[in-house]
Amino acid sequence: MSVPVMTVLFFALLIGWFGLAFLPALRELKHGTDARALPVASDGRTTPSYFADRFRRVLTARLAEPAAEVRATGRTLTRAVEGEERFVVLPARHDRLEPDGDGALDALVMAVGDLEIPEGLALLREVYVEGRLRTEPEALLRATLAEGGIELGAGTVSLRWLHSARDLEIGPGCRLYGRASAVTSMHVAVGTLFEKLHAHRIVFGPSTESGSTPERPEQRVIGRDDLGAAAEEAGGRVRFAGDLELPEHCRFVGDLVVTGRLTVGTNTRIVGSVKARGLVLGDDVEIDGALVSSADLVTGRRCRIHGPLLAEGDVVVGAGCRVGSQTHPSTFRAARIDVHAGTVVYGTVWTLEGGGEVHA
Amino acid sequence: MEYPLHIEIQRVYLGLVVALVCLYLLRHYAFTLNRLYGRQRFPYLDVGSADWPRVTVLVPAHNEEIVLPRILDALLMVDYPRDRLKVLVIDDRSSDRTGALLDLYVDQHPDRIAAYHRREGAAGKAAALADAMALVDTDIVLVFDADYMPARGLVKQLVAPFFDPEVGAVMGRVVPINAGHNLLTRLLDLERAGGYQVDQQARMNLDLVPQYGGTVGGIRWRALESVGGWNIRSLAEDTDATFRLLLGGWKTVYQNRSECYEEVPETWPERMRQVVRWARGHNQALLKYFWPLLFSRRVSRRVKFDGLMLLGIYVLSPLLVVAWATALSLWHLGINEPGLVIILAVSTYAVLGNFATFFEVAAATHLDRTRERVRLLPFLSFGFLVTALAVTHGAFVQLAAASPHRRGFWHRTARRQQP
Repeated sequence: MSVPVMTVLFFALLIGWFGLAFLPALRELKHGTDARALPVASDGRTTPSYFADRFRRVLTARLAEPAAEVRATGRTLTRAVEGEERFVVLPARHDRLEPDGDGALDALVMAVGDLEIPEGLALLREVYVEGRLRTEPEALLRATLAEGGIELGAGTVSLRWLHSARDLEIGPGCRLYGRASAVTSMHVAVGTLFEKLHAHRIVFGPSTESGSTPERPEQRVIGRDDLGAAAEEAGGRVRFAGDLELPEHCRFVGDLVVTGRLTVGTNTRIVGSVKARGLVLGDDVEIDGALVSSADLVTGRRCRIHGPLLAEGDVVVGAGCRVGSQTHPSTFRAARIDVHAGTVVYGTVWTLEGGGEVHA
Repeated sequence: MEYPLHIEIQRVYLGLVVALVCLYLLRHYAFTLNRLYGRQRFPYLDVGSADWPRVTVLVPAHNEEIVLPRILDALLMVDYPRDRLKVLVIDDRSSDRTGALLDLYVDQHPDRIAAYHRREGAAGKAAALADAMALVDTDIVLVFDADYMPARGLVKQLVAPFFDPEVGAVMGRVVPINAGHNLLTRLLDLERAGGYQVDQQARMNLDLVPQYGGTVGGIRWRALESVGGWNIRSLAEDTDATFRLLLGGWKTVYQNRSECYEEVPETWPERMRQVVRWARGHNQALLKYFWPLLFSRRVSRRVKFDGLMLLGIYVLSPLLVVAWATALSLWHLGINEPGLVIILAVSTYAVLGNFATFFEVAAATHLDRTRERVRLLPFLSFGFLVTALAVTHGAFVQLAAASPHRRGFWHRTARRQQP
């Protein structure tokens, strides 16, 4: 074969080789099968009741007619339309909910009054209760919405989400995967495992409040100069390079950023927000702003955090702590949360990977 | 074999450029692998309940009659507490109906929207922002360009990181709304995905230097003020602010899930002007902050390294173009050792993936859970080549002009109302 022919062949092969990559590209360019703008999150998916709100909208439209029929007749209605989800609509006074078999009911359940779920029954579809929902021990729920409040018996499991339009009482040893939310108050018993909680007021375990406020020594005001040469002040905050120990019975005014670990002594108050790479708070510490840790965080007993509590590591919260307040709800977010009895959070508790547990 | 001095200089230059290119390649690979397999950080994402601070949203607008109503309508719909959010639109010497439209909105929503009709002062976005700060009484300031479309929850998402007292600036993710318009917009869509979904988020994951982009973001005013406020002489006030905050010990954080639509350029000349503008501003920041960053005692070594790489990203193109020319000239001079061919090949490969490598873009489409758009990847070579040439041209023009005190002016991409 002559040199010119080989050259032509070489370049033809080269162009073909590169051209191969362009074949799917040209096809996509011509047909534009994936040419739309990427979807952006347009609503509050982090809203705790997001799934419940959506479910309520869809369900009340879909089951309006059967619900009206049940209200009028007072009889249980069961429908199994081919290709669609089976549903059961229960009147205000109804018989005990029975499983299909194997202790499970594979149907969407709607109750126009109150509903009690028998011990050990697994509801494999969504549950909507216009009244109050009560479960006996060891029930299993997939997704639940109750307008009149919820009481979960011991050891109940919620697989996806659970929302009460009033209060939510969670019995000992429950496992709450996904979200659990209530509009008013939530009481989470000892031994409960959770992932994401939201209510105006969340109380973990039995209250440890004694009724009277313990006497605390007077706090000494400290500032940047007391922290040494590693502290510098700019933009309304003090930045400390390295690990820092704030002594007990002190009051520090302003935002504080510590590039290392921060230990805060007993009965010390920081009138501002705090950030550190690892935090240990003594008993009765009070933070007026946010508490942010890019690592783990351990609090003593009776600490008060007024702003958000955000930790990228694990958090252990001592007994009787408060996060947020009645008037200023807050967010408590960490990789894993171990919370001790008597702690109250006003607002939201989100765990990222390890879940959370309530300890005595 | 010994070469004359000028040949040796060229060989050393090529060696240095290749080393630099390899560093950038490693960096891109490290970022992509981090996004695919590393620990992901979204530390401020789920802050939904809080005592939200008062916030001002600045919307700089210069002849924005086409898009202004859209962004104002969107801002009126956000879920932030009404009494804590003020929108301040800076009508900067508009000659169209921007001012009249703005006044109409102010009349309808006097407690929520305010107007600043700017008729004098230095030109440019940075100068407009600096002047507008006199009317701002909040510490947290968000900035949206007028062609952006903030979603309902976006303001809360962008404000949440400011609960962290170390945070000086926040940046959200920009998503092209006109992605499907033509080949260019589709390529820019891929490029943006690589830049935000992988590059910015990886820097966030690794606690390096995410960049404040001047829009879909926010600034803690007392932080920026403590490092000199808006720099009205900067061609890229966003990059400038990022590095001044970094040097001042403040963090810029990136919120990948705080997404906002924007319009990307639909013509190649527009795109070239845009990228030249970015490159000039970036290079200006490189000259200004390279040494301060290198010798900063507040910044750790790994953050310094990333910051310097970020500063140098637009210098790589002219360096490579010169390296190609050098390699070719050496080749013609008979210095045709195989190493030079490899150098040329590596540098060519690298420049085609300068801003966001193919690997990054492919990973971004995977993370975005889209399937078909990644097929356009080979076309990105053209996009990157055009970018490289435009950036090189811009760099040489900048060198030739070499006037750090040139007057600012409004750079903006042509607006087209998107559905």
